[in-house]
Amino acid sequence: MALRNTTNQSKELELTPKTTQESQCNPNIKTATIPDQAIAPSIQDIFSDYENITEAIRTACIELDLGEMIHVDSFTLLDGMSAIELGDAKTDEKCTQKEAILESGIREDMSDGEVIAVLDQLLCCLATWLEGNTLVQTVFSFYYTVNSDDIQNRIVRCFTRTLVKIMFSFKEAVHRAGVQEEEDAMDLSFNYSFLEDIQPNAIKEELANTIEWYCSNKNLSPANLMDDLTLEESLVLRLRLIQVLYSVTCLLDMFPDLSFMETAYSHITDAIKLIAFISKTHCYASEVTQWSVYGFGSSDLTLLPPNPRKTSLLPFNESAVCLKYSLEDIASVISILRHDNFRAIYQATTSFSKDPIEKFRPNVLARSYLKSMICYREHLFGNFQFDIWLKDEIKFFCNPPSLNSTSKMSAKPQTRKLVNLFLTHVQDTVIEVMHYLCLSRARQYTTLQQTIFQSLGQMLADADSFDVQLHKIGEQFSPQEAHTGYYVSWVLYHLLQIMTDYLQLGFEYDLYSLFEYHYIFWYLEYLLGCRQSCGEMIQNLLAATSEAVGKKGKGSGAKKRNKKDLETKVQAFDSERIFLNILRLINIGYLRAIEGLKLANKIICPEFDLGKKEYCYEQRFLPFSYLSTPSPLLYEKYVKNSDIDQLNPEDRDKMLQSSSKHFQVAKTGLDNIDVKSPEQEKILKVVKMNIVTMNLAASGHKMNNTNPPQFDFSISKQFPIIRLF
Amino acid sequence: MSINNSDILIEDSKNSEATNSSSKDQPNTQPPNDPIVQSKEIVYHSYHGEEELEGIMQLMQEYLSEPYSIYTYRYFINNWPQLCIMASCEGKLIGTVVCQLEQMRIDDVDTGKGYIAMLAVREEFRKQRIGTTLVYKSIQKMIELGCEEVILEAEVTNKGALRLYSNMGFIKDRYLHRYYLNAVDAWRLKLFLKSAYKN
Repeated sequence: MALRNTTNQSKELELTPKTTQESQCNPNIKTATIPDQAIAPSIQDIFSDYENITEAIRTACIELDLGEMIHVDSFTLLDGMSAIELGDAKTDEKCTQKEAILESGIREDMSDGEVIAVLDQLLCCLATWLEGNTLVQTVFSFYYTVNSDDIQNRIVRCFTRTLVKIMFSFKEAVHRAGVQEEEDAMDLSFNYSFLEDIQPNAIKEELANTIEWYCSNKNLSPANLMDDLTLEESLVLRLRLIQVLYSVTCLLDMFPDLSFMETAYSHITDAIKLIAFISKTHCYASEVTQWSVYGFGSSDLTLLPPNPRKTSLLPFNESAVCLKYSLEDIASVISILRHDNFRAIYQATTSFSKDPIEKFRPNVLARSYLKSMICYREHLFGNFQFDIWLKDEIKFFCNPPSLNSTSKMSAKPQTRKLVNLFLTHVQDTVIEVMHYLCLSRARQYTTLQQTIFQSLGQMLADADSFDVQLHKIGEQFSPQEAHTGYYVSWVLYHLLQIMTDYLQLGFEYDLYSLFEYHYIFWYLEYLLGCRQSCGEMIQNLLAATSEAVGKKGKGSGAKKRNKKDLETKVQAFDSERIFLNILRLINIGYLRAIEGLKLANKIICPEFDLGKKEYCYEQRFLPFSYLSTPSPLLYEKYVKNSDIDQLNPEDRDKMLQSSSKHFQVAKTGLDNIDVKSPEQEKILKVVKMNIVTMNLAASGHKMNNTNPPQFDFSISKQFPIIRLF
Repeated sequence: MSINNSDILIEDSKNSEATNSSSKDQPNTQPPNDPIVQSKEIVYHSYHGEEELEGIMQLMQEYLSEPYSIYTYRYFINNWPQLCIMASCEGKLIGTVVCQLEQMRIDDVDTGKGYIAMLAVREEFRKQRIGTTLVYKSIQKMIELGCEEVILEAEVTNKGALRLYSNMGFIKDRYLHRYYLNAVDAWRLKLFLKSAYKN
């Protein structure tokens, strides 16, 4: 017999020895249902929220044969997964829960070494929470975070209480943003008290007094950050760190008042320096063999859902690095707030999301602050002039006549109305795109699949429709004011970048099978070509507007300024076009390499007894089917133009040589770029290595076996080094 | 590939055959093939009844790291008994696959989505394509019931399982951070049985 917890979701009653359950597929099912009134009232004082269901089961069993089972229709897989067998350590994690040994606890007379050990362990708890774990299993696994009044040691008490206040701010930031992973429950508070009744000033005062008290007791003057810190100075550093962190959270909570953000930035810089010195002085921490003596590891697992995910605290060194990264990333978020135009914000947000130095950076806290701040109240930074920002951005980007004050059409009320309508239409999608950039990279991929491309497809259609309407107005004035594809170009330019990023995200998470690389590089090459064409189209639009404006403002200073602006923009598009051409060459290099390696039987396509290669192809590019432009490339076209299975086996070395040549031309192009970006430097390195590998392969090196090649993305996330074995 | 109940295929020596939802750590080196084991006939059959449940649970608990309660097994096996395929050798259970098939209606079209919940093959019987055969047979049944795609999750560290599914045409569809209770990441794999543009 199993007891049923009325608060638990589990509804199935276990019978022995033989059962059969209602089946969708088995026509011989017999189902018995327990009438609600048959369930006896509670009789066990010790389990006040449990009901004795013995009689209910007996009643229900009368109509059952051996092998049949009582089943409630609403008993789902989730219920099954969540069900626990009470007392069974494998499913009932909570029966293994350890009680903290609090015989000694946090004593008043703890040595400074012990105090440092406890404070550092609390920092480990904080860092582990930042990794996506629950408060119960991390910060609140310390008995005294819940019972800080029981702490007898003044320093630990003050540190712990401040940490609880900090955790409240962090937790709220994560909750507001909603960018944590689906499986994480970092923002659940489990009804813990976060010392809400204590005002921030009281905490700040307590911290300041504690630091002063300790320093005067130990005759310490304000410590400078230096390499030979004493034990006592090291302890003060930890108090200063928590003091600075608390200031940072209080200042960040003042958003959207941007005037506090620079002070927060400055405090974060201080905190990062303190963490470096705290790492160096961890050696002063007393060695602890049993953390439960100090109240650690007393997680109340009954607060968690059944079968909670196992959590181990990060070691101190990793925790220090994690905290440092978090702070650096929050500082980056504040840097983004300094921008005063949409273009800079979008580019900085994209870089923040795309260029983490370490895996899993930026972490959930930094992404949460970013999301809450840039999309505050569904406007950028809470700025209700969002439409003006967007207007400026489009004007800067392609300078459409409808936004150019010197054009006649821009003054028409009808034009203004249409422009405002367009900006209102696109705002939601722009915010949606900003949201997705705040997600983890893995979730970005699925969000793009599920919603973003659909929204962008609609935005593109809207832009096209508005262009057509504006074109009709422009034609009434002069041919120079033709409004051909300005808004569409703006949307398309960004859309193509996102499409490229989507395919490259698949490389980041190793989603593609080796046999798929060919069509992925093939599609990427197509998208890069589209980006080149789009850039050229925008250059032409800029030139057309400039010409139209120039004719009207002959001899004026504005004309010279416009001409200079145009030249700068055209130059930027020229550079981009050249770089895109290099990337296309590299993609073709990969295509030829894969073809050569396929002919050498180093890349083998699955037999596909079930399914088809065609279906894999279709699914990979299915999100692009929401878009009318660029035209989706169907599998038939792939097969017709470049199917890898149609190659002549005798062409193996020719393909490998061709690959090397394409990489060589790309290298020459990269060499010609005077000032290379870090990403371009990485690509150059990859290309050089691939030239060597392909030359060797073409001469037969490592081609006498069928060992598959390795595509190594360790240097560049988009362009792999090809390694042969 | 041709598979029937008595097939003993030995050409694939790479499958770890303990997959989904997560498997316990596998040794780096596979045990050598036992010619005696290979010469014995392997019989495949669908789940018959409750008397087989305990054996299935024991096998899964031995090779899968995720702790499933009896309710989870019953949910899958009693709802889709024909999608629980078992491999036996001389009356001893040596491998099992447990699957689900959900019928749903999307845009007025009936769609079947298959899910491979658990797969395990006893260590001493691996490298004989038993895992592949079990999966193949379960998917064949799913197809008969109108299945259009099959999904599953596998630990990113379970190279053997990933290879097994990759060889069958599954592709990685999504990366799942810390998916399992042991905090290991996973990939969601999919096998597409119908064209995406069929409608």
